[in-house]
Amino acid sequence: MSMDDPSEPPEHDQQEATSPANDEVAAQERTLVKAAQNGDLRAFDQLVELHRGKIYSMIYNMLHNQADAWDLTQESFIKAWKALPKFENRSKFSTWLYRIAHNTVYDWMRKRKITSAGEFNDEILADDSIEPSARTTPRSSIAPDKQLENSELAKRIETAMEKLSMEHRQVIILREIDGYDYKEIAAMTDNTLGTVMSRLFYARKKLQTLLKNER
Amino acid sequence: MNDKSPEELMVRWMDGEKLNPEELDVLKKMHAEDPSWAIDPKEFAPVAEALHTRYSSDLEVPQGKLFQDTLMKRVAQEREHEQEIARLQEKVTAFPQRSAASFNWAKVAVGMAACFLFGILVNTSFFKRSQPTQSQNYAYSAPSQLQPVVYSVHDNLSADFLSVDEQNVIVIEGLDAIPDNIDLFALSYPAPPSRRQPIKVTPHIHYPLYEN
Repeated sequence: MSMDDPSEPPEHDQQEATSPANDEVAAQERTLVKAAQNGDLRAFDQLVELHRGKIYSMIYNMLHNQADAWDLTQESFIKAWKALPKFENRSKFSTWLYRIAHNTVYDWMRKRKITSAGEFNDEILADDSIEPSARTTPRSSIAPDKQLENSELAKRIETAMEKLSMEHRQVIILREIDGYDYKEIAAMTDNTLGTVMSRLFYARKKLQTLLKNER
Repeated sequence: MNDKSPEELMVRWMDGEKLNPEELDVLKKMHAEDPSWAIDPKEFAPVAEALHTRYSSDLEVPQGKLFQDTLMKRVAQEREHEQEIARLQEKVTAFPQRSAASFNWAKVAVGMAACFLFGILVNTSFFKRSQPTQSQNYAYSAPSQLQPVVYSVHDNLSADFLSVDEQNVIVIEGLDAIPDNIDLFALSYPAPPSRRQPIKVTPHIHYPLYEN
């Protein structure tokens, strides 16, 4: 499949369809949100437990710094608590939460005036300081030569990602890693659909070019 | 009529979406004009795979229990602050209504007093380190044998004590941030700024967050 015959798009796994189980989860979440809006701390506690991993992942993937990601995840949830009375259930709660996290990271980076390369990466610290159950350490079940190959490829992709602008990095993370659809990404990042698609195109193109040049 | 940009069509096509003939013509035309413009899905596939190798969409927050407890403590304090403001506002609006006929002159004084109190409330909440307060809704228990004592040569620290899953965690605030350009492998620890005796930093004890 190539651009010579664009009538046949590349094959991809089918997206997960709406199921009764998903509907039940969504209904439970709406109940928790409503209770939290009425001041129920336990309900908000449960919402935090449900979403903290994804929010932390998004922020950590942007910043590559555990401590900063930890702090900004907390700040995001504090802002979510304060803004909860204004949430009208017109979008998914996770989408609304991501938007808050996105704005929190942007505000923080603007204040820090962080550029796209040269940031302190806390992964040079010893791995034994990381909680064993955390998924930030690589699995040890892969063969050593494959681990080395993956490790080198991972470093190359990380270097290439750091050369992207923050806007491009974010759409790549939201689309390629987190699997959100285009409209959700537009809602989360407060951009038009056209802007998201354009950024996705140029981000993919730049990544491909950077990785090709490094071979 | 196609209203999507060529870039959008390219992304949708790469992601497996079926394009109509008009949209396909746009892509073919772009490809013919500039073959380097297009992104070959075969070439991008390993990039996508590498992204999944390097990044995860669902990491566990380090020290999850501590994260949760610290966050909920702040949320509880925030809620209490909001409730205090609501009570104050209620008192300010209720008083003039009860005595409107006789105390018109007092409205100005009450308004000024309310603004003054509100300003103090905001100042103590937002510009100073928050202190734990007891609320009639919360039970308070502080076993003395668990109370830690922290000593430091610095006098600008504050400490919080949390009991999490039978583990005691001391959170010390006021330390200098670690600069981004620090070389951890070449560290040498300078002598403390003064040779004064260590002073006691008394942690604040925290109450359970929920009603008993």
